[in-house]
Amino acid sequence: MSDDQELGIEEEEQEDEEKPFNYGYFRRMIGFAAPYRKRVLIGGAMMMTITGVHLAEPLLMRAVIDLGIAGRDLGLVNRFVLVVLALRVLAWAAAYVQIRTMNWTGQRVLFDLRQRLFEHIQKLSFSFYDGRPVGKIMSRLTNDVNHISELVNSGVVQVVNQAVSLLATMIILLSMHMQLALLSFCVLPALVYCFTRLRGRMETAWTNTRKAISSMNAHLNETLTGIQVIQAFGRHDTNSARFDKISRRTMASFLRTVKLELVFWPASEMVGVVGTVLVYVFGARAVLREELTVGFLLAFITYLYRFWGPVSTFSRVYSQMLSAMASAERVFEFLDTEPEVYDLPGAQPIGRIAGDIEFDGVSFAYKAGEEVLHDITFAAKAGDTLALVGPTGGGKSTIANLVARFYDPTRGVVRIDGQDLRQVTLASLRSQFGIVLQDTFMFSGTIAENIRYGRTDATDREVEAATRAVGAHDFIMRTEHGYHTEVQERGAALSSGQRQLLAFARALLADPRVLILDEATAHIDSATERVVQAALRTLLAGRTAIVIAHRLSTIEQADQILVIDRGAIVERGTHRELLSRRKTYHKLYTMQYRLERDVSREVSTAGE
Amino acid sequence: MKPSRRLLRMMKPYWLQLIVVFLAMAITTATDMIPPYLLRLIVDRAIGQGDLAFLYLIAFIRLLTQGVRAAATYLQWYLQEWVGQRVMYDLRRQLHAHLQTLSPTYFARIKTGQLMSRLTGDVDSLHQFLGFGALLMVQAVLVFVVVVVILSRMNWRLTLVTMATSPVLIATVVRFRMRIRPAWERIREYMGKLTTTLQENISGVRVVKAFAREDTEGGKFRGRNLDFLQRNLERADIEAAAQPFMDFLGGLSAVVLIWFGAREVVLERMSLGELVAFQRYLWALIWPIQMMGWLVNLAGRALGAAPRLFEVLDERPEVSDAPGAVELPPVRGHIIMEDVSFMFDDGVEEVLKDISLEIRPGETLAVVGGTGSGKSTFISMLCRFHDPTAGRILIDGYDLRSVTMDSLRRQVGLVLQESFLFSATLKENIAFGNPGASQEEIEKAARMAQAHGFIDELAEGYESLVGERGIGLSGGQKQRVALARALLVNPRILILDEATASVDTETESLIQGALAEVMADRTTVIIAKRLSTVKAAGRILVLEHGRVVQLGTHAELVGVDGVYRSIFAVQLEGQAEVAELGEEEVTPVV
Repeated sequence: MSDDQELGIEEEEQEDEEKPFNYGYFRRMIGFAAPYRKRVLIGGAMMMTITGVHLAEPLLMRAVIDLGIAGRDLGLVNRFVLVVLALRVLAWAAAYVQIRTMNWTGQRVLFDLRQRLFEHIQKLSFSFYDGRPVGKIMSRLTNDVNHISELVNSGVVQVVNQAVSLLATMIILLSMHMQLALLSFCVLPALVYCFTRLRGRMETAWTNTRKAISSMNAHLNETLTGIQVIQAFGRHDTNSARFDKISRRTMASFLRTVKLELVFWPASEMVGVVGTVLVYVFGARAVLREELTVGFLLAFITYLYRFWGPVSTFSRVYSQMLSAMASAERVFEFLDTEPEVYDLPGAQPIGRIAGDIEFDGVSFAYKAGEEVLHDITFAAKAGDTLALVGPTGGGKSTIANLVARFYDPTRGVVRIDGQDLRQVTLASLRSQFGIVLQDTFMFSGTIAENIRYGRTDATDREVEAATRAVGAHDFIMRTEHGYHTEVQERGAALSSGQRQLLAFARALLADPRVLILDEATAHIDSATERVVQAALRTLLAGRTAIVIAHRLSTIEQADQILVIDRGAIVERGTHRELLSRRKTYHKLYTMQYRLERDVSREVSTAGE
Repeated sequence: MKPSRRLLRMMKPYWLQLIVVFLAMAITTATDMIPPYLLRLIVDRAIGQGDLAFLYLIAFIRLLTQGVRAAATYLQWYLQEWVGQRVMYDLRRQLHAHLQTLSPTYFARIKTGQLMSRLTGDVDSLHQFLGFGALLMVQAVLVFVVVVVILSRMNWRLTLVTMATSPVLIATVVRFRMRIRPAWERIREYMGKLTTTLQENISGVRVVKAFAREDTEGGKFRGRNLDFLQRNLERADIEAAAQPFMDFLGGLSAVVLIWFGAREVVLERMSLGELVAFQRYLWALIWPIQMMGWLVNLAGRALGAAPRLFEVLDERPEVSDAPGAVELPPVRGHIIMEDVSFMFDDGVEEVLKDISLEIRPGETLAVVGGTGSGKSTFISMLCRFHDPTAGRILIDGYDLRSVTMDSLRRQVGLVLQESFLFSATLKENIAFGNPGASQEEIEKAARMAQAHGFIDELAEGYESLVGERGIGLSGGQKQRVALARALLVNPRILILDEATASVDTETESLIQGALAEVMADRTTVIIAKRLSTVKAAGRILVLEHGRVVQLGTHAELVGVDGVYRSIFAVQLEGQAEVAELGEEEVTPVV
């Protein structure tokens, strides 16, 4: 294995082909500002006012020179100066309003965009999250959105403003002196040529830069989450070397982009100067022939500056927009990911669930062609405990996920209380489910807040009742601040067994109609096992439960046991029935205890 | 050291490039000073005296100036970005390398989202400043000084009058600077909070969905999002109050110039060309003024971000290589703990108390104890994730503090309960500690860990990619991959922290069979909940509240009425029943 591909976020490393500016995304981006169009208009109007002031000034200056100075009329000079001053005050006020409204709308649009994205990815199925590093998802919601801010904050309005300003200047120049104006414009095609040649490459360069940054962030995130493994294996040098490579690539990619941008900018300035020099020469000669006044020529040249200035900054604004568009594309890619599971039109709330579960010929494939469940049919009565047993990867968790409708079956129907899950609303269904997973994620906040996660309005008494029922109360009281102890992200303050008990309490408090325990007892300490056994009895009473467990002792009491292997039910029945059948379950069961049988013999002898 | 000083120091290695940047900057600034003078010559001499040849000469000089300027601009900006990128690169590398030396305690304290926000957003803020802001600031000051000198030499009275607004301007900039920086600090802080909420939500998405709490999570995020919006609007208010006013002051200078200049020309104290040139120079002055607000803003943002990064860099690692630490030679695995106690920095109570123990090479020691008994701390001491507060730990006679961490950890194979897998192929994950391993070796390790079977069944086998947290695999599968990863390093000391908790019983017994072979000639320390695993160990160490309360073989301990028996009471009872059942109904398939 070469060091290159040692560990890698390689998929994004190929650089893209040249890509055209995506107007569709651009329009969608603009669409986000639509609700605030009034403020955008105000901001735009203010911007135009400022531009207007800037455009009027050279004309007034011309008047000062040609009328005031040449005519030696100081009173006239004073009057013109007062007008300029008044315009300046106006521009000041306009700029104040403009900065405030533009920021308001810009930030508001970003707020909306972040919120939309967040709420959208909440709806996406597990398959969206499977294999997609947290770092990459985060990067889109933070970095990419921040990047777009440049587009919405100033980019669009600036482009419009500059375009208007350019057009107005052009008209002024042409109306002042048609020939002189055309003369200076004759270099424009060179600029357009320059720009069109660079454009595609600039777009691609920006996309690549954003991608490189995203890979870098993903790597960072992985380093942070996997830090203990890296340290335990003494692999930080290699990991650093890899980061170094990604980091270097980011730098190189960025500098490539900058280079392209920097070629355009001085080049366009140069083109502008050529045009201006032409005006110098022909204009000065015209003044000598007394066809033009000095004031006129100076005003004309000032307008030329105003013309070429925006043209050369245009490349910068454009590349800023490109960079923002690269981000917008990545943001929209998320927004365009359809949730696999969603409320169908006409879906009804399910009402209080009794808890009859039925699988009718259910098959399922995560990826087309790779079926992981084949034609599963079973039924569990309300209040029953159904246990799923079998080797890892057999499809037990997938069945559980289908019951909670995290996925829809590829074929067949899943019913609860006789209703097809696809006919009911997700919220009404899931709110009656309790799921305890092996991965007992705790949110930052206090222990009490975490237990209330499924039912925020629970009283302290109810919280305590739940924790007592699962045997978590005692250890909670032993923590520094009891129920108000802060739970840390990695749960360092709590052992995994304790977190598991909290997860039980969390599920119990939510009082679900259907409970799913997915290997939920894997982390329970031997010491707490007795407590947990009792807790489970409390938890399972009076509701339908689906239990997946490795330890067969947890499931001996189940009303029905399904043995799942390679996506199919290979055996079903109660513990006693299955044992007497002496097939797979029997084998699993014997296997588990074969190791421990000797031990128990010792115990019996020790006890005697 | 002040953050700004520290940033400057980071630019030091690139002094040569910076000198070139400054030279280029001087050239651009100089070329900016020429056109107004040329314009004056056109007005006063070419037009005033009708000298056409002179006009062409000036036109030529103008083009030449621009050519020089274009080249200098390119050089200046490119190198500037280059230096900025290099400094960012160095900073990122330092941060990344440093983070890897910090102890688990640090990562338990600082949230991943917070760190991510610092490593991305804060670094980016710095980049914008270092990329162009900092040097543009220098250039602005340079232009300002040069122009004022030129202006005062042209006409000092006019200069004085037009510069009259400067004190107000400077006061405004200073005030703006003072207000904008804390505003940016707050924004960065709230961005950190937003990122944390986001990170937590994405990591815990399964729980969110399991409890159908998408709406509440949306509300929580909305709160953070709104806070962030609010901080940004506060910042915008400060900008709105300062920037247009600075622009206005710049414009006021121009107005004063026209008014006063026109009088001077009418009174024939200066030529029209001079006035025009004066006005152009004033323009050159206005951009630094206008820029100042923006630049100060950028600097405020960067300096608000910098301390957050330096804070990470300044975090002292809890353990680090001692000066003169030696490589730990290949060990036999003879571990001695002498009166080892440990307490966390912020702890009130010792997590481990006076532990003295000898583990002989090749021995298997099981560590058992209730929740919070110190089991996990005990084993993390062996990998030197923490140093003992008192006492010492020796491996083959070497004090762990006297050897390099890498050489130690490479000989210790650690498998944790929560198996973190990298976004890479299974093969790469297994070969993580030993990237040079051949396919045969990888498969052998996988077979031992009972992972080969399921890997082989995957469409892409060992080349299958796993997600960040190995989500595509079940908990038990991840644990087996993690186990294979540890076995492939061929460690002298193997540490298993509930490494098979998520594996089903059948697989576990297979793993144990395979491990028995591996463990025979190496020292193994195991934390396990299943009696069968514990029982297989040579000796069992029972911890309670950080103390050793029992030590002996299973047979010894099970006969005594003590902590060990009470811990395993349930399992022992269960097995007694099974033993009966086993006799009557279940015939083991051997």
